[in-house]
Amino acid sequence: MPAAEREGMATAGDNGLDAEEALARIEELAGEHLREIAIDDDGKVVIDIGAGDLRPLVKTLRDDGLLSYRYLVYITAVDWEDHMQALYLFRSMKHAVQLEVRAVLDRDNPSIPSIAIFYSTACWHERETYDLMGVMFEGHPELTRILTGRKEDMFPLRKDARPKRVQRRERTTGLPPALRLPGERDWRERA
Amino acid sequence: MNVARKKTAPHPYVRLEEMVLNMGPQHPSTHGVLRLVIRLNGELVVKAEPVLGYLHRGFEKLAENRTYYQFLSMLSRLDYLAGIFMEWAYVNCIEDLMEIEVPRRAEYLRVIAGELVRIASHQMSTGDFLLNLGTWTPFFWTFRDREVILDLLEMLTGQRMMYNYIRVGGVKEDIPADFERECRKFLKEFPAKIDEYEKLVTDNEIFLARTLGVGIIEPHEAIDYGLTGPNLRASGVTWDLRKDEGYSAYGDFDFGIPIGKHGDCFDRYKCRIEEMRQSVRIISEALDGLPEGPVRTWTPPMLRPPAGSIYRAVESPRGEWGNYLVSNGGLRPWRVKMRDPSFIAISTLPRILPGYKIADVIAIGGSMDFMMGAADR
Repeated sequence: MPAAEREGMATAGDNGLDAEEALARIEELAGEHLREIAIDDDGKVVIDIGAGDLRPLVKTLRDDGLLSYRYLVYITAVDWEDHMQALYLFRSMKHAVQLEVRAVLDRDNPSIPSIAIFYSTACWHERETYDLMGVMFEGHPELTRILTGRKEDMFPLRKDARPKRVQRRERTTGLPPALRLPGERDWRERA
Repeated sequence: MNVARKKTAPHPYVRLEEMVLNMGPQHPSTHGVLRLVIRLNGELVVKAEPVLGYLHRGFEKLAENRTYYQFLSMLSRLDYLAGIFMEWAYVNCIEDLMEIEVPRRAEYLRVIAGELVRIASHQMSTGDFLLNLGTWTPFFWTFRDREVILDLLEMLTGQRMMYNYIRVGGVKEDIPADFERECRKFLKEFPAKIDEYEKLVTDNEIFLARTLGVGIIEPHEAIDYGLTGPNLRASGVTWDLRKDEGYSAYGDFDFGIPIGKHGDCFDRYKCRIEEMRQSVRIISEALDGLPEGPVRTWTPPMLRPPAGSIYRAVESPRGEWGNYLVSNGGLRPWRVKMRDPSFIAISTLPRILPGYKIADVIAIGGSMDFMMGAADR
Protein backbone atom coordinates (compact mmCIF):
# COMPACT_ATOMS: atom_id res chain seq x y z
CA MET A 1 0.00 0.00 0.00
CA PRO A 2 1.44 3.42 -0.92
CA ALA A 3 2.49 5.62 1.96
CA ALA A 4 0.17 8.47 0.99
CA GLU A 5 -2.87 6.23 1.14
CA ARG A 6 -1.76 4.83 4.46
CA GLU A 7 -1.45 8.35 5.83
CA GLY A 8 -4.88 9.20 4.52
CA MET A 9 -6.39 6.23 6.28
CA ALA A 10 -4.75 7.07 9.57
CA THR A 11 -6.32 10.51 9.58
CA ALA A 12 -9.58 9.32 8.07
CA GLY A 13 -11.74 12.37 7.56
CA ASP A 14 -15.48 12.23 7.14
CA ASN A 15 -16.41 12.48 3.47
CA GLY A 16 -20.03 13.06 4.47
CA LEU A 17 -21.54 10.17 2.53
CA ASP A 18 -25.10 9.47 3.67
CA ALA A 19 -27.11 6.27 3.39
CA GLU A 20 -28.94 7.14 0.15
CA GLU A 21 -25.71 8.11 -1.58
CA ALA A 22 -24.01 4.95 -0.36
CA LEU A 23 -26.92 2.85 -1.62
CA ALA A 24 -26.79 4.51 -5.04
CA ARG A 25 -23.04 4.04 -5.20
CA ILE A 26 -23.30 0.34 -4.29
CA GLU A 27 -25.98 -0.20 -6.94
CA GLU A 28 -23.84 1.56 -9.50
CA LEU A 29 -20.71 -0.45 -8.69
CA ALA A 30 -22.09 -3.90 -7.98
CA GLY A 31 -25.68 -3.88 -9.19
CA GLU A 32 -25.37 -7.25 -10.90
CA HIS A 33 -24.45 -9.01 -7.63
CA LEU A 34 -27.38 -7.76 -5.56
CA ARG A 35 -30.67 -9.50 -4.98
CA GLU A 36 -32.12 -6.86 -2.73
CA ILE A 37 -30.85 -3.65 -1.21
CA ALA A 38 -32.47 -1.43 1.39
CA ILE A 39 -31.80 1.01 4.20
CA ASP A 40 -32.95 -0.23 7.60
CA ASP A 41 -34.14 1.67 10.69
CA ASP A 42 -30.59 2.10 11.97
CA GLY A 43 -29.56 3.88 8.78
CA LYS A 44 -27.35 1.09 7.59
CA VAL A 45 -27.43 -0.38 4.11
CA VAL A 46 -28.58 -4.01 4.05
CA ILE A 47 -27.83 -6.18 1.05
CA ASP A 48 -29.15 -9.65 0.27
CA ILE A 49 -26.95 -11.65 -2.06
CA GLY A 50 -26.44 -15.17 -3.28
CA ALA A 51 -23.45 -16.97 -1.78
CA GLY A 52 -21.57 -16.98 -5.10
CA ASP A 53 -21.60 -13.19 -5.40
CA LEU A 54 -19.93 -12.55 -2.06
CA ARG A 55 -16.32 -12.30 -3.16
CA PRO A 56 -16.68 -9.95 -6.15
CA LEU A 57 -19.09 -7.75 -4.19
CA VAL A 58 -16.88 -7.48 -1.12
CA LYS A 59 -13.77 -6.78 -3.17
CA THR A 60 -15.49 -4.03 -5.15
CA LEU A 61 -16.87 -2.29 -2.10
CA ARG A 62 -13.60 -2.57 -0.20
CA ASP A 63 -11.47 -1.08 -2.94
CA ASP A 64 -13.79 1.76 -3.91
CA GLY A 65 -12.33 5.07 -2.77
CA LEU A 66 -15.66 6.59 -1.83
CA LEU A 67 -17.25 3.67 0.01
CA SER A 68 -14.01 2.17 1.34
CA TYR A 69 -15.49 -0.66 3.41
CA ARG A 70 -12.13 -1.68 4.81
CA TYR A 71 -13.21 -2.61 8.28
CA LEU A 72 -14.95 -5.94 8.88
CA VAL A 73 -16.75 -5.82 12.21
CA TYR A 74 -17.93 -9.41 12.44
CA ILE A 75 -19.06 -12.48 10.56
CA THR A 76 -21.75 -14.64 12.00
CA ALA A 77 -24.58 -16.96 11.07
CA VAL A 78 -28.12 -17.43 12.33
CA ASP A 79 -29.89 -20.77 12.31
CA TRP A 80 -33.51 -20.19 11.23
CA GLU A 81 -34.35 -23.91 11.41
CA ASP A 82 -35.39 -24.08 7.75
CA HIS A 83 -32.38 -22.23 6.42
CA MET A 84 -29.08 -20.76 7.58
CA GLN A 85 -28.24 -17.11 7.20
CA ALA A 86 -24.69 -15.78 6.97
CA LEU A 87 -24.16 -12.19 8.09
CA TYR A 88 -21.32 -9.76 7.51
CA LEU A 89 -21.07 -6.27 8.97
CA PHE A 90 -18.70 -3.77 7.38
CA ARG A 91 -17.74 -0.31 8.43
CA SER A 92 -15.85 2.47 6.77
CA MET A 93 -13.49 4.88 8.44
CA LYS A 94 -14.48 7.56 5.95
CA HIS A 95 -18.22 7.81 6.57
CA ALA A 96 -20.79 6.64 9.09
CA VAL A 97 -22.90 4.32 6.90
CA GLN A 98 -22.52 0.69 7.92
CA LEU A 99 -23.11 -2.14 5.51
CA GLU A 100 -24.70 -5.47 6.32
CA VAL A 101 -24.40 -8.28 3.80
CA ARG A 102 -26.70 -11.27 4.19
CA ALA A 103 -26.78 -14.54 2.34
CA VAL A 104 -29.23 -17.41 2.70
CA LEU A 105 -27.56 -20.82 2.85
CA ASP A 106 -28.82 -24.35 2.64
CA ARG A 107 -29.16 -25.63 6.19
CA ASP A 108 -28.08 -29.20 5.50
CA ASN A 109 -24.95 -28.20 3.67
CA PRO A 110 -24.21 -24.55 4.43
CA SER A 111 -21.32 -23.26 2.43
CA ILE A 112 -20.11 -19.85 1.31
CA PRO A 113 -16.83 -18.58 -0.16
CA SER A 114 -14.25 -17.38 2.34
CA ILE A 115 -13.23 -13.71 2.31
CA ALA A 116 -10.08 -14.28 4.35
CA ILE A 117 -8.01 -13.15 1.36
CA PHE A 118 -9.59 -9.70 1.49
CA TYR A 119 -9.70 -9.19 5.25
CA SER A 120 -7.18 -10.71 7.64
CA THR A 121 -9.67 -10.56 10.47
CA ALA A 122 -12.13 -12.72 8.52
CA CYS A 123 -9.89 -15.74 9.08
CA TRP A 124 -10.75 -16.13 12.74
CA HIS A 125 -14.33 -14.93 12.41
CA GLU A 126 -14.91 -17.65 9.84
CA ARG A 127 -13.25 -20.27 11.99
CA GLU A 128 -15.51 -19.28 14.86
CA THR A 129 -18.64 -19.41 12.70
CA TYR A 130 -17.63 -22.81 11.37
CA ASP A 131 -16.95 -24.05 14.88
CA LEU A 132 -20.25 -22.93 16.37
CA MET A 133 -22.58 -23.13 13.38
CA GLY A 134 -21.02 -25.55 10.93
CA VAL A 135 -20.91 -23.13 8.00
CA MET A 136 -18.21 -24.24 5.55
CA PHE A 137 -16.13 -21.38 4.16
CA GLU A 138 -14.70 -22.50 0.84
CA GLY A 139 -11.12 -21.50 0.24
CA HIS A 140 -10.37 -20.76 3.88
CA PRO A 141 -6.67 -21.34 4.66
CA GLU A 142 -7.28 -23.26 7.89
CA LEU A 143 -10.86 -24.10 8.68
CA THR A 144 -10.50 -25.81 12.06
CA ARG A 145 -12.36 -25.58 15.31
CA ILE A 146 -11.25 -22.71 17.48
CA LEU A 147 -13.36 -22.43 20.64
CA THR A 148 -14.90 -25.81 21.35
CA GLY A 149 -11.87 -28.06 20.94
CA ARG A 150 -10.79 -30.64 18.41
CA LYS A 151 -12.91 -33.50 19.73
CA GLU A 152 -16.22 -31.69 19.55
CA ASP A 153 -18.63 -33.60 17.34
CA MET A 154 -21.53 -31.17 17.04
CA PHE A 155 -22.08 -27.57 16.06
CA PRO A 156 -23.37 -26.21 19.34
CA LEU A 157 -25.18 -23.10 18.18
CA ARG A 158 -27.46 -24.94 15.79
CA LYS A 159 -30.96 -25.06 17.15
CA ASP A 160 -31.16 -28.84 17.18
CA ALA A 161 -27.79 -29.35 18.88
CA ARG A 162 -28.14 -30.74 22.35
CA PRO A 163 -25.37 -31.87 24.64
CA LYS A 164 -24.77 -35.59 25.13
CA ARG A 165 -25.96 -35.31 28.73
CA VAL A 166 -29.36 -34.09 27.54
CA GLN A 167 -29.53 -36.71 24.80
CA ARG A 168 -28.90 -39.46 27.34
CA ARG A 169 -31.63 -38.16 29.59
CA GLU A 170 -34.02 -38.01 26.65
CA ARG A 171 -33.40 -41.68 25.95
CA THR A 172 -34.16 -42.69 29.53
CA THR A 173 -36.74 -40.29 30.91
CA GLY A 174 -38.16 -38.58 27.84
CA LEU A 175 -37.98 -34.88 27.06
CA PRO A 176 -36.13 -32.74 29.58
CA PRO A 177 -38.24 -30.49 31.77
CA ALA A 178 -35.31 -28.12 32.26
CA LEU A 179 -35.36 -24.39 31.56
CA ARG A 180 -39.10 -24.19 31.25
CA LEU A 181 -41.11 -21.02 31.63
CA PRO A 182 -44.73 -20.79 32.85
CA GLY A 183 -47.00 -21.85 30.04
CA GLU A 184 -44.40 -23.95 28.23
CA ARG A 185 -44.62 -27.70 28.50
CA ASP A 186 -41.19 -28.48 27.07
CA TRP A 187 -38.43 -26.97 25.00
CA ARG A 188 -40.20 -27.67 21.73
CA GLU A 189 -42.96 -25.23 22.58
CA ARG A 190 -40.79 -22.22 23.07
CA ALA A 191 -42.46 -19.03 22.03
CA MET B 1 9.27 -32.41 21.91
CA ASN B 2 8.74 -31.75 18.27
CA VAL B 3 12.07 -30.86 16.75
CA ALA B 4 12.45 -30.02 13.09
CA ARG B 5 15.84 -30.18 11.42
CA LYS B 6 16.87 -27.12 9.46
CA LYS B 7 18.32 -27.66 6.02
CA THR B 8 21.36 -25.38 6.06
CA ALA B 9 23.85 -25.83 8.87
CA PRO B 10 26.99 -23.70 9.12
CA HIS B 11 29.27 -26.55 10.13
CA PRO B 12 28.83 -30.32 9.80
CA TYR B 13 29.12 -30.76 13.56
CA VAL B 14 26.91 -27.81 14.47
CA ARG B 15 23.25 -28.51 14.08
CA LEU B 16 20.68 -25.73 14.04
CA GLU B 17 17.30 -26.78 15.26
CA GLU B 18 13.98 -25.11 15.61
CA MET B 19 12.33 -25.66 18.92
CA VAL B 20 8.64 -25.72 19.65
CA LEU B 21 7.83 -24.00 22.89
CA ASN B 22 4.46 -24.38 24.48
CA MET B 23 3.54 -21.25 26.41
CA GLY B 24 0.46 -21.54 28.54
CA PRO B 25 -2.36 -22.23 29.18
CA GLN B 26 -1.12 -21.86 32.74
CA HIS B 27 1.32 -19.04 32.32
CA PRO B 28 1.24 -15.86 34.40
CA SER B 29 1.70 -13.54 31.45
CA THR B 30 -1.03 -14.93 29.21
CA HIS B 31 -3.80 -13.06 31.05
CA GLY B 32 -5.93 -16.08 31.66
CA VAL B 33 -5.72 -19.31 29.78
CA LEU B 34 -4.28 -18.54 26.37
CA ARG B 35 -1.94 -21.16 24.96
CA LEU B 36 0.69 -20.04 22.49
CA VAL B 37 2.55 -22.65 20.47
CA ILE B 38 5.72 -20.88 19.45
CA ARG B 39 8.32 -22.18 17.02
CA LEU B 40 11.70 -20.74 17.93
CA ASN B 41 14.93 -20.38 16.04
CA GLY B 42 17.32 -19.65 18.88
CA GLU B 43 15.74 -16.69 20.60
CA LEU B 44 13.73 -15.62 17.59
CA VAL B 45 10.10 -16.47 17.03
CA VAL B 46 9.53 -18.12 13.66
CA LYS B 47 5.89 -18.95 14.01
CA ALA B 48 3.28 -18.45 16.68
CA GLU B 49 -0.06 -20.15 16.89
CA PRO B 50 -2.58 -19.19 19.58
CA VAL B 51 -4.82 -21.96 20.86
CA LEU B 52 -8.06 -20.80 22.42
CA GLY B 53 -11.07 -22.30 24.04
CA TYR B 54 -9.85 -23.20 27.52
CA LEU B 55 -12.41 -20.83 29.01
CA HIS B 56 -15.23 -21.51 26.57
CA ARG B 57 -18.50 -21.59 28.46
CA GLY B 58 -20.92 -21.33 25.57
CA PHE B 59 -22.41 -17.98 26.51
CA GLU B 60 -24.13 -17.56 23.17
CA LYS B 61 -25.95 -20.86 23.62
CA LEU B 62 -26.74 -20.13 27.26
CA ALA B 63 -28.41 -16.89 26.15
CA GLU B 64 -30.78 -18.79 23.88
CA ASN B 65 -32.02 -20.83 26.83
CA ARG B 66 -32.68 -17.95 29.18
CA THR B 67 -35.02 -14.99 29.35
CA TYR B 68 -33.61 -11.56 28.63
CA TYR B 69 -33.29 -10.67 32.31
CA GLN B 70 -31.82 -14.00 33.33
CA PHE B 71 -29.02 -13.60 30.85
CA LEU B 72 -28.33 -9.99 31.84
CA SER B 73 -26.92 -11.04 35.20
CA MET B 74 -24.43 -13.42 33.56
CA LEU B 75 -22.85 -10.96 31.18
CA SER B 76 -20.25 -9.44 33.48
CA ARG B 77 -18.61 -12.86 33.75
CA LEU B 78 -17.36 -12.49 30.19
CA ASP B 79 -14.81 -9.73 30.47
CA TYR B 80 -14.58 -9.78 34.24
CA LEU B 81 -12.45 -6.65 34.46
CA ALA B 82 -14.94 -4.52 32.57
CA GLY B 83 -18.24 -6.31 32.97
CA ILE B 84 -20.35 -3.21 32.82
CA PHE B 85 -19.71 -2.74 29.10
CA MET B 86 -21.14 -6.15 28.26
CA GLU B 87 -24.32 -5.25 30.10
CA TRP B 88 -24.39 -1.89 28.39
CA ALA B 89 -24.25 -3.24 24.84
CA TYR B 90 -26.80 -5.96 25.55
CA VAL B 91 -29.22 -3.57 27.23
CA ASN B 92 -28.81 -1.07 24.38
CA CYS B 93 -29.93 -3.78 21.96
CA ILE B 94 -33.07 -4.56 23.94
CA GLU B 95 -33.92 -0.91 24.54
CA ASP B 96 -33.59 -0.02 20.89
CA LEU B 97 -35.62 -3.03 19.77
CA MET B 98 -38.41 -2.25 22.23
CA GLU B 99 -38.06 1.52 21.82
CA ILE B 100 -37.71 2.13 25.55
CA GLU B 101 -36.85 5.67 26.56
CA VAL B 102 -33.96 5.88 29.04
CA PRO B 103 -33.97 8.78 31.54
CA ARG B 104 -31.15 11.25 31.07
CA ARG B 105 -29.94 10.79 34.62
CA ALA B 106 -29.60 7.06 34.04
CA GLU B 107 -27.47 7.68 30.95
CA TYR B 108 -25.18 9.91 33.00
CA LEU B 109 -24.91 7.31 35.75
CA ARG B 110 -24.04 4.68 33.12
CA VAL B 111 -21.28 6.93 31.84
CA ILE B 112 -19.93 7.52 35.35
CA ALA B 113 -19.93 3.81 36.17
CA GLY B 114 -18.48 2.93 32.78
CA GLU B 115 -15.62 5.37 33.02
CA LEU B 116 -14.81 4.29 36.57
CA VAL B 117 -14.62 0.71 35.31
CA ARG B 118 -12.47 1.85 32.40
CA ILE B 119 -9.96 3.43 34.78
CA ALA B 120 -9.92 0.31 36.96
CA SER B 121 -9.41 -1.91 33.93
CA HIS B 122 -6.62 0.23 32.51
CA GLN B 123 -4.94 0.27 35.91
CA MET B 124 -5.07 -3.49 36.03
CA SER B 125 -3.77 -3.91 32.51
CA THR B 126 -1.01 -1.32 32.90
CA GLY B 127 0.10 -2.79 36.20
CA ASP B 128 0.01 -6.29 34.82
CA PHE B 129 1.88 -5.30 31.68
CA LEU B 130 4.64 -3.75 33.77
CA LEU B 131 4.68 -6.76 36.07
CA ASN B 132 5.22 -8.96 33.02
CA LEU B 133 8.17 -6.80 32.10
CA GLY B 134 9.70 -7.41 35.52
CA THR B 135 8.76 -4.35 37.56
CA TRP B 136 6.95 -5.03 40.80
CA THR B 137 6.21 -1.60 42.22
CA PRO B 138 3.79 -0.25 39.58
CA PHE B 139 1.64 -3.33 40.00
CA PHE B 140 1.21 -2.65 43.71
CA TRP B 141 0.67 1.04 43.18
CA THR B 142 -2.03 0.56 40.55
CA PHE B 143 -3.70 -2.04 42.74
CA ARG B 144 -3.59 0.28 45.72
CA ASP B 145 -5.46 2.94 43.72
CA ARG B 146 -7.75 0.45 42.02
CA GLU B 147 -9.06 -0.45 45.45
CA VAL B 148 -10.44 3.10 45.80
CA ILE B 149 -12.33 2.74 42.52
CA LEU B 150 -13.69 -0.65 43.48
CA ASP B 151 -14.96 0.89 46.72
CA LEU B 152 -16.65 3.62 44.71
CA LEU B 153 -18.20 1.03 42.40
CA GLU B 154 -19.36 -0.92 45.41
CA MET B 155 -21.14 2.19 46.67
CA LEU B 156 -22.66 2.78 43.26
CA THR B 157 -23.60 -0.72 42.17
CA GLY B 158 -23.35 -2.88 45.27
CA GLN B 159 -20.67 -5.05 43.69
CA ARG B 160 -16.95 -4.85 43.10
CA MET B 161 -16.65 -6.89 39.91
CA MET B 162 -19.90 -8.48 38.74
CA TYR B 163 -21.99 -5.34 38.63
CA ASN B 164 -25.37 -6.12 37.05
CA TYR B 165 -25.95 -2.39 37.41
CA ILE B 166 -27.25 -1.44 33.99
CA ARG B 167 -30.83 -2.57 33.59
CA VAL B 168 -33.27 -2.32 30.73
CA GLY B 169 -34.69 1.19 30.90
CA GLY B 170 -32.05 2.69 33.17
CA VAL B 171 -29.82 1.63 36.01
CA LYS B 172 -30.40 -0.40 39.16
CA GLU B 173 -30.65 2.46 41.63
CA ASP B 174 -29.75 6.06 42.24
CA ILE B 175 -26.40 7.11 43.69
CA PRO B 176 -26.04 6.87 47.46
CA ALA B 177 -25.81 10.04 49.53
CA ASP B 178 -22.06 10.37 49.95
CA PHE B 179 -21.03 8.94 46.58
CA GLU B 180 -20.54 12.32 44.92
CA ARG B 181 -18.29 13.60 47.71
CA GLU B 182 -16.16 10.45 47.68
CA CYS B 183 -15.98 10.41 43.90
CA ARG B 184 -14.90 14.04 43.70
CA LYS B 185 -12.25 13.36 46.30
CA PHE B 186 -10.96 10.50 44.16
CA LEU B 187 -11.03 12.60 40.98
CA LYS B 188 -9.03 15.30 42.72
CA GLU B 189 -6.34 12.92 43.94
CA PHE B 190 -6.11 10.53 41.01
CA PRO B 191 -4.32 12.61 38.33
CA ALA B 192 -1.36 13.01 40.69
CA LYS B 193 -1.25 9.24 41.03
CA ILE B 194 -1.13 8.76 37.26
CA ASP B 195 1.86 11.11 37.30
CA GLU B 196 3.39 8.86 39.94
CA TYR B 197 3.03 5.78 37.71
CA GLU B 198 4.58 7.68 34.85
CA LYS B 199 7.44 8.90 37.00
CA LEU B 200 8.17 5.31 37.93
CA VAL B 201 8.43 3.77 34.51
CA THR B 202 7.77 5.96 31.50
CA ASP B 203 11.29 7.33 31.28
CA ASN B 204 12.96 4.20 32.58
CA GLU B 205 15.68 3.10 30.20
CA ILE B 206 15.05 -0.62 30.55
CA PHE B 207 11.34 -0.13 30.04
CA LEU B 208 11.98 1.95 26.92
CA ALA B 209 14.40 -0.62 25.54
CA ARG B 210 11.80 -3.34 25.93
CA THR B 211 8.85 -1.45 24.51
CA LEU B 212 10.02 1.12 21.94
CA GLY B 213 9.76 -0.30 18.44
CA VAL B 214 8.55 -3.67 19.72
CA GLY B 215 5.36 -5.17 18.33
CA ILE B 216 4.72 -2.53 15.72
CA ILE B 217 1.29 -2.61 14.06
CA GLU B 218 0.88 -0.38 11.02
CA PRO B 219 -2.41 1.51 10.77
CA HIS B 220 -3.57 -0.27 7.62
CA GLU B 221 -2.74 -3.61 9.24
CA ALA B 222 -4.67 -2.67 12.36
CA ILE B 223 -7.74 -1.83 10.28
CA ASP B 224 -7.35 -4.96 8.18
CA TYR B 225 -7.25 -7.04 11.35
CA GLY B 226 -10.24 -5.22 12.82
CA LEU B 227 -8.40 -4.05 15.93
CA THR B 228 -10.22 -1.55 18.10
CA GLY B 229 -9.69 0.44 21.25
CA PRO B 230 -6.28 1.52 22.49
CA ASN B 231 -4.60 -1.07 20.26
CA LEU B 232 -5.98 0.63 17.15
CA ARG B 233 -5.49 4.16 18.41
CA ALA B 234 -1.87 3.48 19.31
CA SER B 235 -1.31 2.86 15.60
CA GLY B 236 -2.46 6.39 14.89
CA VAL B 237 -6.03 5.77 13.77
CA THR B 238 -8.51 8.16 15.37
CA TRP B 239 -11.44 5.89 16.00
CA ASP B 240 -13.45 5.86 19.18
CA LEU B 241 -17.09 4.83 19.29
CA ARG B 242 -17.70 7.28 22.12
CA LYS B 243 -16.91 10.12 19.73
CA ASP B 244 -17.78 8.59 16.37
CA GLU B 245 -21.14 7.15 17.32
CA GLY B 246 -21.78 9.29 20.41
CA TYR B 247 -23.98 6.65 22.04
CA SER B 248 -25.55 7.16 25.47
CA ALA B 249 -24.66 10.60 26.87
CA TYR B 250 -21.15 10.82 25.44
CA GLY B 251 -22.23 13.57 23.07
CA ASP B 252 -22.52 15.92 26.06
CA PHE B 253 -18.93 15.69 27.21
CA ASP B 254 -15.77 17.29 26.04
CA PHE B 255 -12.88 14.86 26.00
CA GLY B 256 -9.92 13.96 23.86
CA ILE B 257 -8.95 10.73 22.17
CA PRO B 258 -5.29 9.92 22.78
CA ILE B 259 -3.64 8.41 19.72
CA GLY B 260 -0.18 7.00 19.26
CA LYS B 261 2.20 7.37 16.39
CA HIS B 262 4.15 4.16 15.86
CA GLY B 263 1.82 1.44 17.09
CA ASP B 264 4.42 -0.21 19.30
CA CYS B 265 4.13 -1.48 22.86
CA PHE B 266 5.11 1.88 24.29
CA ASP B 267 2.38 3.71 22.40
CA ARG B 268 -0.23 1.22 23.55
CA TYR B 269 0.88 1.69 27.16
CA LYS B 270 0.89 5.46 26.78
CA CYS B 271 -2.56 5.48 25.18
CA ARG B 272 -4.00 3.68 28.18
CA ILE B 273 -2.33 6.09 30.60
CA GLU B 274 -3.75 9.06 28.71
CA GLU B 275 -7.17 7.46 28.50
CA MET B 276 -7.28 7.30 32.27
CA ARG B 277 -6.79 11.07 32.38
CA GLN B 278 -9.56 11.58 29.85
CA SER B 279 -11.87 9.33 31.85
CA VAL B 280 -11.27 11.48 34.93
CA ARG B 281 -12.32 14.44 32.85
CA ILE B 282 -15.50 12.72 31.65
CA ILE B 283 -16.52 11.64 35.15
CA SER B 284 -16.05 15.13 36.62
CA GLU B 285 -18.05 16.65 33.75
CA ALA B 286 -20.79 14.07 34.28
CA LEU B 287 -20.92 14.78 38.01
CA ASP B 288 -21.12 18.51 37.34
CA GLY B 289 -23.97 18.19 34.88
CA LEU B 290 -25.82 15.29 36.47
CA PRO B 291 -29.50 15.93 35.65
CA GLU B 292 -32.27 15.41 38.18
CA GLY B 293 -35.03 12.89 37.62
CA PRO B 294 -35.77 9.17 37.72
CA VAL B 295 -33.09 6.58 37.02
CA ARG B 296 -35.25 3.90 35.46
CA THR B 297 -38.37 3.66 33.35
CA TRP B 298 -40.79 0.89 34.12
CA THR B 299 -40.38 -2.22 31.99
CA PRO B 300 -42.34 -5.46 32.16
CA PRO B 301 -40.65 -8.23 34.17
CA MET B 302 -40.86 -10.56 31.18
CA LEU B 303 -39.45 -8.78 28.16
CA ARG B 304 -40.73 -9.60 24.71
CA PRO B 305 -38.88 -7.50 22.15
CA PRO B 306 -40.54 -7.42 18.72
CA ALA B 307 -39.09 -9.67 16.05
CA GLY B 308 -36.03 -8.19 14.44
CA SER B 309 -32.28 -7.99 14.67
CA ILE B 310 -30.00 -5.28 15.95
CA TYR B 311 -26.31 -4.62 16.49
CA ARG B 312 -25.13 -2.28 19.21
CA ALA B 313 -21.55 -1.65 20.24
CA VAL B 314 -19.86 0.19 23.08
CA GLU B 315 -16.27 1.27 23.52
CA SER B 316 -14.98 -1.02 26.24
CA PRO B 317 -11.44 -0.61 27.66
CA ARG B 318 -10.25 -3.23 25.17
CA GLY B 319 -12.07 -1.89 22.17
CA GLU B 320 -15.38 -2.32 20.46
CA TRP B 321 -17.61 -4.68 22.38
CA GLY B 322 -20.62 -5.40 20.22
CA ASN B 323 -23.77 -7.38 20.64
CA TYR B 324 -25.83 -8.70 17.76
CA LEU B 325 -29.25 -9.69 19.00
CA VAL B 326 -31.90 -11.52 17.01
CA SER B 327 -35.38 -11.70 18.48
CA ASN B 328 -38.29 -13.71 17.12
CA GLY B 329 -40.77 -11.97 19.38
CA GLY B 330 -40.47 -14.61 22.08
CA LEU B 331 -39.39 -14.60 25.69
CA ARG B 332 -35.85 -15.66 24.88
CA PRO B 333 -33.37 -14.24 22.41
CA TRP B 334 -33.21 -16.28 19.22
CA ARG B 335 -29.52 -15.58 18.73
CA VAL B 336 -26.95 -13.53 20.58
CA LYS B 337 -23.62 -12.92 18.92
CA MET B 338 -20.87 -11.16 20.81
CA ARG B 339 -18.14 -9.37 18.98
CA ASP B 340 -15.31 -8.97 21.38
CA PRO B 341 -12.08 -7.07 20.97
CA SER B 342 -9.81 -9.55 22.76
CA PHE B 343 -10.54 -12.31 20.24
CA ILE B 344 -9.49 -9.94 17.47
CA ALA B 345 -6.37 -8.81 19.34
CA ILE B 346 -5.24 -12.42 19.75
CA SER B 347 -5.86 -13.11 16.07
CA THR B 348 -3.14 -10.58 15.22
CA LEU B 349 -0.47 -12.45 17.21
CA PRO B 350 0.52 -14.90 14.40
CA ARG B 351 1.16 -11.85 12.24
CA ILE B 352 3.04 -9.69 14.77
CA LEU B 353 5.13 -12.11 16.79
CA PRO B 354 7.42 -13.70 14.13
CA GLY B 355 10.74 -11.92 14.05
CA TYR B 356 10.73 -10.82 17.66
CA LYS B 357 12.57 -12.46 20.53
CA ILE B 358 10.91 -14.71 23.05
CA ALA B 359 11.06 -12.00 25.73
CA ASP B 360 9.20 -9.63 23.41
CA VAL B 361 6.33 -12.10 23.21
CA ILE B 362 5.60 -11.29 26.83
CA ALA B 363 5.84 -7.55 26.19
CA ILE B 364 3.60 -7.68 23.12
CA GLY B 365 1.04 -9.93 24.78
CA GLY B 366 0.94 -7.68 27.83
CA SER B 367 0.56 -4.51 25.80
CA MET B 368 -2.29 -5.93 23.68
CA ASP B 369 -4.28 -6.39 26.91
CA PHE B 370 -6.56 -9.25 25.96
CA MET B 371 -9.00 -10.91 28.27
CA MET B 372 -9.51 -14.61 27.80
CA GLY B 373 -12.87 -14.67 29.54
CA ALA B 374 -14.22 -12.53 26.73
CA ALA B 375 -12.24 -14.09 23.89
CA ASP B 376 -13.36 -17.63 24.68
CA ARG B 377 -16.88 -16.69 25.67
